[in-house]
Amino acid sequence: MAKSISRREFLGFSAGLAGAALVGCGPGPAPKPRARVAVVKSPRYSLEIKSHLAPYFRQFGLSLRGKSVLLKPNIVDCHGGGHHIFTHPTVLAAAIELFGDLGAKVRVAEASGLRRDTNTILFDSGYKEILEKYSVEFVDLNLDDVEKAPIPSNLTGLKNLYIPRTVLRSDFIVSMAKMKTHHWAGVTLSLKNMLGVLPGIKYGWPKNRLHTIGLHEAIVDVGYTVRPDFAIIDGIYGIEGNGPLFGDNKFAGVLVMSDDFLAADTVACRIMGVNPGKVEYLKLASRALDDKLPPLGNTKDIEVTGAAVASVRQDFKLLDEFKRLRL
Amino acid sequence: MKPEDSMDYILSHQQADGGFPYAPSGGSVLEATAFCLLAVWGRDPKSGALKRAAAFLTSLQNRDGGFFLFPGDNLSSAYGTALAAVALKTADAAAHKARLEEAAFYLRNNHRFAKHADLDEDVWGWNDYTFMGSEPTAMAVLALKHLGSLPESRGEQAAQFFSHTKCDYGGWTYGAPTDKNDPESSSPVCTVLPPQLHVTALVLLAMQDRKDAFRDGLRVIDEASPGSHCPLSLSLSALAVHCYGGDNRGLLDRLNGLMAEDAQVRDMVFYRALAALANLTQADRNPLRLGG
Repeated sequence: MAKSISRREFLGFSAGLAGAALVGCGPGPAPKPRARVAVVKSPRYSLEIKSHLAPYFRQFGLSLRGKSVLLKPNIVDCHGGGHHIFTHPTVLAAAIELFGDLGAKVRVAEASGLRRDTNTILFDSGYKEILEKYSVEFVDLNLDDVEKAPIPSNLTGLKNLYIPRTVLRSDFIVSMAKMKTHHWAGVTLSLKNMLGVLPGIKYGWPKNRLHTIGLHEAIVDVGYTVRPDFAIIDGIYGIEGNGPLFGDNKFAGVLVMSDDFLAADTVACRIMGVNPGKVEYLKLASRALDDKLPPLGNTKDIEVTGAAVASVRQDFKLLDEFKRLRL
Repeated sequence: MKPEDSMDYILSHQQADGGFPYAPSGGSVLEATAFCLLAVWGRDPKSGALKRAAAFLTSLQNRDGGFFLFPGDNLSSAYGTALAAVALKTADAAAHKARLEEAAFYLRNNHRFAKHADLDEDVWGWNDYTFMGSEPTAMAVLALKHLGSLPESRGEQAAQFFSHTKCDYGGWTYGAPTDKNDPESSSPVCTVLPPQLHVTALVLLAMQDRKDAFRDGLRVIDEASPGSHCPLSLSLSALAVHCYGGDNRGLLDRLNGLMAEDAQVRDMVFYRALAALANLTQADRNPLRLGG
């Protein structure tokens, strides 16, 4: 896994923050004063998704030539029947093309959260076909070497997380979440999706070490430790009700994209008819923990491009215990 | 791909510390080392690689008797401890007698068993801080049976646990708690999710001394294995079917075909070791079989 420059070095350099500690050993930069989130209508899973995303994607002005980009979809499991519990492979294909067109070296990685036979999931979900079509490497993070990374926020008291080396050595991480309700967290979007980088053999299948120690705190701790640089949320179909595994398919017909993942989650919540200010982990992530730990993103000043949120809002059914989250 | 080719491949990836990595570019980890050790033992019980691999495993033993998963780990792993114990016993039970006793003590006593309100059994999680799970419980039971250290009452509890967590379709998933008598139970995992092949195989391996009670799990392997692309699942299934006296040639054909064709798995040391281990059953060798 030889690399000439680490993610930390690259990001520090590109942000003009030489010397600043970022991934795995520091809080990261303060969010931009104004976040931009693209809400892109896309009525079906097809090869047209890239063309739907491209004009908005360009707005972010990413410069990633020669850099290693890690696409982290949510492929928690696949149990067939057209159940939309994982990021759709056509959305992955679009992201591979978009980042590939920038001259980035793209890889896809996931540590599937429910079972160990990742390769079967890749076949059953349609990922294998896409990976082969684009000759893109897939890294099974459940079988990757790990490094101990200090948690800047340490809300859980765990102090450190064991993070796959592939994640730590990537220059740029894209969280490709699925728009889903979650039976413990309320919603699962691009921040919660990052729990999926952690290896099951250390954190359990399912990764309940993190779900039981204080789920909201764990989500935010992971966010401060392995902060995604970009978010693409697949909301063409999501999951409502008893998500993330057992709920019902819900059509929303949108993709949400931003270089501020917390802003993307905030907007996605509103599309789902969920008040982001009431989702515990989003609340935690949206405020400075102390003067050295700025918020993980901007939830207050967000410019939405593309479709107006109100025009695409599709209220996702919520479990009784989460009805209080309704917008 | 011939099993002997895999053996050369495996041995070529033994690290300076004696351990083996998951992937060629990785560092030594317990799980890959244990399965590599078992595979190498099956081909050549006198291989010098065994002693070096065992030395790496013993370097991971924690003060509480449990084993870390990798150098620098901070917590004993029940699953890792059990797997390491099986590997060390296979390599040289006499040489590792004291360490194996410590490992058995950890598994029986030190591990903080996670109980669920719906179930009465003491079972194992991946480590002290995860929920109980079928997979770590099966590995712990298998190891304690190999070591002759599983009290009868705990064997009964394990059997009850696996009966409770059995999927409606047969077989096992990861074993999240479900009260099957309560349709409002918090987790529908066992009723909605299809069984997971590798978990089912591991449970069958753990309960191989109660073949009659668990034999129907073989049906799940029969039904699910043709759709599997996972060397872990197929290898453990082949080993389990062998323990139950079944014909595993179809499983081995599928496994070997997968290993020959799919670079995603072919180039992983871990999977090569599992496949080599499964292929040992063709010569009626199976270190996961109780009694050798």
